[in-house]
Amino acid sequence: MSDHGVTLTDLPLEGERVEVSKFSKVIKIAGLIGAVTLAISLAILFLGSGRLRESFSYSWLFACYYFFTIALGGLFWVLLHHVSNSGWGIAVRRVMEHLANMLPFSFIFFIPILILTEPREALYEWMKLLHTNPDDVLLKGKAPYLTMGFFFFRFAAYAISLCGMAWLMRHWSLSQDRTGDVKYTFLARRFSAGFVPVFAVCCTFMAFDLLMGLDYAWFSTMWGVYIFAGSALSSMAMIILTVTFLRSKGSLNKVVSIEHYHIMGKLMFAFTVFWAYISFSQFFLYWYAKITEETKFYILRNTEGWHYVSLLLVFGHFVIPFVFLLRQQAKKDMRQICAACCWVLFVHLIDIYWIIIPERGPSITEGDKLMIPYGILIDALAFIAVGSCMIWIFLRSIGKYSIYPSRDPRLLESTRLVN
Amino acid sequence: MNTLKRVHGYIAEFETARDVYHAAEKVRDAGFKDWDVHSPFPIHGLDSAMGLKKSQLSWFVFIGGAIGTVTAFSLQFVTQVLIYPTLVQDKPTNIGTLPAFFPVMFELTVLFSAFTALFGSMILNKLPRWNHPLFASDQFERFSDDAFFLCIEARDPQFSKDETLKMLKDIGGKSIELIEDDI
Repeated sequence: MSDHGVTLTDLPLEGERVEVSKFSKVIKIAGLIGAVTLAISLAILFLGSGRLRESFSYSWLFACYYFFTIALGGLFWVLLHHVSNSGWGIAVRRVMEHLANMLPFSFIFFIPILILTEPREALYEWMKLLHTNPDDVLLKGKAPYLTMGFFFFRFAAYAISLCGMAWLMRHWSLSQDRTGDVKYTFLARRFSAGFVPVFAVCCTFMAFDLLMGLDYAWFSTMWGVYIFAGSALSSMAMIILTVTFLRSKGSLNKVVSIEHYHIMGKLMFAFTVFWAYISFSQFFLYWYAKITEETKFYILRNTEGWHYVSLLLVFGHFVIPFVFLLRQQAKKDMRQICAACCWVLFVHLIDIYWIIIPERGPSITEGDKLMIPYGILIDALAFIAVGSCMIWIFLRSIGKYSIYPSRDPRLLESTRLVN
Repeated sequence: MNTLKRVHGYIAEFETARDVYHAAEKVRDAGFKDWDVHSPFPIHGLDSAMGLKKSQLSWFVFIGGAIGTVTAFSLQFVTQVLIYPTLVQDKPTNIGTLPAFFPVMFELTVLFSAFTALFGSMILNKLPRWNHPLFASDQFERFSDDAFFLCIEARDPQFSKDETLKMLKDIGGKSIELIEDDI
């Protein structure tokens, strides 16, 4: 039966708190691992020297950007939910809001590689050129944009706007939990319409500055939307996994049904196709035109071992999830959809790795070597450090408020979702 | 003069989508197989209230799409690589030129799946057809305006002239009509 009979009397006004004590073990382990690996990482970044420190800057950027994209996608889903006036996802909206509010922490993690001179100059060659070879033609041509002051100003602007939007959206949602006033629904809808362009600009230029800037001579106009496609996709995967995790701990069972999984699975499927469409278009135009300064990005990523990683992305990031998620049953079966989510998060990791790490060898060794031999180890270290800290913060933040917007006027509509 | 007529079935009118939804649940539970609900707009969840299984159409569409992909690939590969290798802009004339084929492969996949979706659904619904016995009823016109109809067909093994009429009355059907079709 589609009508599973939830009524407003089943949904108390104060909502439902997640008992964090039920998974305190996970939090403790994540916190412990996070503290140890973070200490080692910061030691390398602040006290290290030479090639290790430079290589590790790339690892750190990779780890930070991976978790940043997931949090960024969380904000996108919140904004989209409001701006499209959606009713289906109110039951899971708080999870998206929590995910979006990981943005401030992900920005904090970026700080070490940006304030320390040696790591940031290892990452961004143009910063070094500013004082070693300021007459470089390309650099001069891009001078108004590629200056230290403007770079930091932009970074601060992204941080303030993205974190501010995430905070405001959750703030209004929480205020509605307390007062039950319908005006917050309208406030959120009205403002998110204005926030969407701000989000798009921040998301695009953040990707330009931190990822495309790894090679200041290369450019792609599709870069922003490419990063965005991956981030919305992996973020939806993270939302589904979080909801499943909370349900396994006994929360959200009254409000979330398999119909929500079906919709979220469909969105994941849509963004799998969107990612493929965007990344193929980017590749296709450069492959066809064959202009030297444009193709260098793909030439580097098709050299030696990286060629197989590129192929893995084609099949792993598109073909496999596309064929798997095509069936309706895959989206309506909790175990299958969660397996797909884990896979999507894994291939998104490969995607970000493939974007950042190939630049490392040639950049640090000045074209001498393609790979740093111990590279994969320090990448794993950075990933575990940032990841454990993020899990630690995220799981703790979940218990602070009701896990669904308990007094949203359309909560019942969402719990009785049929699609 | 006597004309022979064939009984098509009963139609019963319901005033709201909610009424027809709950009536459908009761007809489903009574075990009827050949019956249908007619509504001016889609009613969410009606498929499960009627006990309908998932449509088989998606398999047709998948196969159609796959044929589209293969067709597009072979058309381009055979003509531009096997029969008449075409050198364009220094691109390879072997499987390495695959990216150039993708746009057409994508388009034909979409086109073939759209065609199979359209024609497959027409075949599954036995369309097009000239007439339908239900059009013999005058009140039935309102199914596309403001009324909700439930029709139980006479070919259903459980159909009975009196008991089905009684059941339709019990579940709240109004203006029940026996539809007869000219042979």
